[in-house]
Amino acid sequence: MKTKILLAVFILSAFTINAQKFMTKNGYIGFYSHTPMEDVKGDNNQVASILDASTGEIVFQALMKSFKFEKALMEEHFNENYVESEKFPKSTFKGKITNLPDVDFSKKGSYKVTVEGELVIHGVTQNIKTPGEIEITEDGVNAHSQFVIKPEDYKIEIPAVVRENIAKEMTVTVDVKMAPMGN
Amino acid sequence: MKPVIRNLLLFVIILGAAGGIIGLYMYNKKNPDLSKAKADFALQVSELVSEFNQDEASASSKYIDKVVEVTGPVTTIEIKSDSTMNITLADEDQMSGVICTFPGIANPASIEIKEGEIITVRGVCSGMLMDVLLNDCVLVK
Repeated sequence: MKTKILLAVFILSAFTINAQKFMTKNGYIGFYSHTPMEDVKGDNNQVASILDASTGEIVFQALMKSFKFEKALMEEHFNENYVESEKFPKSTFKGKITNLPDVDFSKKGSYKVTVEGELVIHGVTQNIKTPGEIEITEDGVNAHSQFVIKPEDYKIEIPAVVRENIAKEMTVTVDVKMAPMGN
Repeated sequence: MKPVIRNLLLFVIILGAAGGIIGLYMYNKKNPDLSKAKADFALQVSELVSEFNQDEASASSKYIDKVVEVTGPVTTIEIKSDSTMNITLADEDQMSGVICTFPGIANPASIEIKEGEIITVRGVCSGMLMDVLLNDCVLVK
């Protein structure tokens, strides 16, 4: 009887490691573009993300007004003219790690992954697929990715006057450190 | 040339120069340093969170882009970079709190704030995700 109970506990604990969810509310997403005229850089340190280790589903949510720029005027233009943050206050990504079996959540280390899903910016949804890294640490799960998006794909209109200052492509960097939920 | 025309020309040039200087100033203006700023609102973390939970739309129009001073207990501290840190203030009885991002900390690791400590933070309200979000934060002594 004792062995059966012990076995049950072992099996159950094995399942719970993989059934765990990880989250953060202090994640980082930044974007960057370079032109001869100027560099555009926005940083958001208040990104929320949840990863379901059992399904590989990963969700990000970012408040547009939390993207901070060095220059106040650039931030104002970003919010009022480009992403219209009053109309579309949040940006979201709902996706999945497509090679989940390659990640061993019970073993510390770095794993290369591919993430695919829907990115919504400025009310426009686009499917994106990007490589990334999942790092299993003693504190939880870190996720990192870098990919390129085109503002015009999200109907973000850059007026002709500043068109040369903002590149046609933005490099997006995602860097989140998630802790196990329910702790 | 006639003095009137010369004076007019001078006036236009000075106006143009002034416009250029103001434009350059506006263009280069950084985000506000709130250490000397006056708050538009000062309240407890629990009050701010309650207002957003009860009616997010009206709390949003009331607080977004305004300078808010919140007082409450520290629940988490996260160092984000070598100059940025996040401090979350939350009331024991509430599910949500206020996440405060401090952008200009010279040495975040040296800041001596403990969990449970009651502090006052001044920041600009950006809105709400799962918690109320403040940016450009400074510690109010």
